Amino acid sequence: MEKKKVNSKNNKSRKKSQKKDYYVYECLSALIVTVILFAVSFLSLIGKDREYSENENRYLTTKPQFSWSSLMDGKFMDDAEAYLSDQFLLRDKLVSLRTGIDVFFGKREINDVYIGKKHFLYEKPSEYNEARLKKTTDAMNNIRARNPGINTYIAIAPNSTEIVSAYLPSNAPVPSQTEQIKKIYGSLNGFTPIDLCTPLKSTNNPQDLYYRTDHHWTSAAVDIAYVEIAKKMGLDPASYQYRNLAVTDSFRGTLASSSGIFSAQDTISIPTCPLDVMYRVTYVEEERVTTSVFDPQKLNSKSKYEVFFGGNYPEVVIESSSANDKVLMVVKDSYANSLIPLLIPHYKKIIIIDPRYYNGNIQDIIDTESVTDMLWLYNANTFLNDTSIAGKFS
Amino acid sequence: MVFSSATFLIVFLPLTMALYYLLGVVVTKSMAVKNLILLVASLIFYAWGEPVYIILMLLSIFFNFIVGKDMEQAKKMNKKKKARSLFIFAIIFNIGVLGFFKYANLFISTFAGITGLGLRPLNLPLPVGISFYTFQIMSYIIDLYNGNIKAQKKLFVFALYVSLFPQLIAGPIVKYKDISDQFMNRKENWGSYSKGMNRFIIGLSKKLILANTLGSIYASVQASGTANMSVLTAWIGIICYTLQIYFDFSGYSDMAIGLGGVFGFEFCENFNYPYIAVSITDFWRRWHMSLSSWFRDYVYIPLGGNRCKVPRVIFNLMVVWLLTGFWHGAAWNYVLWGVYYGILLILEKYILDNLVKRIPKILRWLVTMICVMIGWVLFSAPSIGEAFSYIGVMFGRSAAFADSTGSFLLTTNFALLLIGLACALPVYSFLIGLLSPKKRSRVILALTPLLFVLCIIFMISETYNPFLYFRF
Repeated sequence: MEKKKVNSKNNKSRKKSQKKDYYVYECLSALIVTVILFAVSFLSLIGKDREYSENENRYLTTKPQFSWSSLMDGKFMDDAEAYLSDQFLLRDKLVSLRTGIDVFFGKREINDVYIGKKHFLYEKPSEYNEARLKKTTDAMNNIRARNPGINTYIAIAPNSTEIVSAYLPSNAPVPSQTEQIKKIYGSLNGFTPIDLCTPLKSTNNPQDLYYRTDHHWTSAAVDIAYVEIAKKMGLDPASYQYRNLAVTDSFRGTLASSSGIFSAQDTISIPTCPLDVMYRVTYVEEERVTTSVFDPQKLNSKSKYEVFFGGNYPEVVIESSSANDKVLMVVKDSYANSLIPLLIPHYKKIIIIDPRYYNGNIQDIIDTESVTDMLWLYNANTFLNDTSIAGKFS
Repeated sequence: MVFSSATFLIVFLPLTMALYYLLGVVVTKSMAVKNLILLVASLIFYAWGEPVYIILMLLSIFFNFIVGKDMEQAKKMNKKKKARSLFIFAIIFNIGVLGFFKYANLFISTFAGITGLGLRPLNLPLPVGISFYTFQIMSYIIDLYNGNIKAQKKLFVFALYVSLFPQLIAGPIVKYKDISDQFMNRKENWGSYSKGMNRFIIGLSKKLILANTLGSIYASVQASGTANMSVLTAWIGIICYTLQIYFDFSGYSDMAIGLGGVFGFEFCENFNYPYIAVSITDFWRRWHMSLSSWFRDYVYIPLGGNRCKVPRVIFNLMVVWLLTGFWHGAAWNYVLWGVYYGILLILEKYILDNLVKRIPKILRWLVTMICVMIGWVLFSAPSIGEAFSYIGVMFGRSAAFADSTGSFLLTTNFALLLIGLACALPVYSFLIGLLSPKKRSRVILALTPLLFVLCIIFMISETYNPFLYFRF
């Protein structure tokens, strides 16, 4: 009897002390949280503002300007929120911690980028939209029909999801671009199709064909595509012996930016020019003339792939000292930028049109420049999403 | 302003806490000063999100304060008629304001759609929190009229009741009778402060870490359209939404209750593990409890509740659930959602009651959850038509049971889904119960600060916004 009483007393006091123990720890953790709260607040307010974010490639929001009108329509509040989060201390570190946490817990898709193995990032494949594609191919067929005398070629390059499948995250939904491209070729009339999938797929090191951090293809892929395109277009690829020279090894491309994963860097190479060919590059709308298709200044910027042509422009004309008197028109996206340099020795004149920026009438150019050959050069993702061909040429 | 914003966490909260504790608790020790600081903070909090509509809230406060006083005066002088007309006037005013700002667009566009008249909707943006504070005000007016409470004599205390920032925007709907004492008589102490702070962090984590992440999955599923959706994808999507809405809403309630505790208030609970419910009735005893109790006290019981004949009870139930659906948003799918629950509850009450008791609990839980998830499809779909085609896919009207999109979603979000389920069901409390009390206290010491740091990481990384000008 007595013993029991003592026991229950002991139990009671133990429970009491346990409760107290819990209480103490709860207070302690609240104290730590309070300290973090005030420390973060204090540090944010005294911290020095950054103007530019390299990772995000944009100017950060600076201190919002107060005015009554901006207060009444809520703009001041939005700006203040953007300012506080843009200038938050260790912002870049926090973002990379977040992607680290996401990837650790199994996430393999961030902002339409697939996170592959061995630091390989993939652009999420575009949707195959029949209606949209039909508009594009109709417009292309129209142009073809209007110019029966011109040799017209189509080359759609597959993207890394199709070629570098070994490093894809498991289960990632990827459509067969080879099939899609075949279907597109089938709906084009009078175009000579150039199959880039087969040669790109049959290399031993497919992972070298695409940048790990960017959605473009590398010079290694361009080498293969060039041979294939040259053969189909009746050019002799062996007549132009070139080497690829690395110009940067610190390229972090669009896929790194989109996903916020900056763990890898890529190397960009450019081909050497043939010594016996001179050329002149004219940026027509910009009214600018240069003597090189390369813009070395872009190697100091974030968008290093723009070393080719300095980026995308509506109309670029290359006139060369080539003995040939053929005139080529290339209708293209940015994949072509790294391949066109290899075509220079084969043509007297190359007229490059980027429909996304070009607003003129290409029929006029075809007629006045007496175009002899026409190459449509795209990558699958851009082509599948494109609305500018249909929008501007139909 | 919302609790999960940088403005709130970096500027508003630390500033309010510092002022409240330094000026109110330490220096003046005056309840009036503390209340004044909270009132000013609350008005700034509201005006930050609604710089124009704050006038509407202030008008509502003035009007109801004065009517409340007059009504009490009339009652004291035994002018029953006057009290009654004041009461009706106040109810019409409050419902009118809510109806105009929340539902005018819906009624005008529906009316125009039916009649073919070219009426243009007003396109007034909905004042934040109006559904919540109007219901709080109405609890005051109704209880006052019924003689359950005394009128508040101080305008600024009444204003504080309506605008108190922790529960202003998303509840819980605190009834005046439950909290009136606390305005003049509350004690801030380490216990309520630390409990509140820990609770706030739990709520913040629910919102920032779980709800937002799960929400983005559902958003991507919904955006992909039902045309090519597999059964698997549809279920993953709706499970994500089911978890998201719980973490979002209960997280907000946790934050409100926690912040209340930080300033010495004690609010009513709003959620009690709704997803362990074994019947729809059970679910609604656990989900948004402050709203259900509001409708019970101020609509269902005044209509006669269940102390009438069966047809009348059914009518009462349908009225309550029609209104509950409508309260959630100005669109017909919310009404449908409310009616859906009304019908389920009536079925459960009168027809399935005996049958249900014979089914094993786990099966009852499963059926309840499927009903709840179907409810969430109705709730979240952009239109009733899309809701039905989504439900169709869930139950097999699809080309494929599983496709790579579905299995990719499942494998890459598996851990998140598991964590979500563990937090929505009382797994955490179960696991922590297995620990010795000493270890339990160590866990809380490590957990809350860690969660807070995670919250900051998630909050800031949400705003990651790369500019991709060369993305062509």
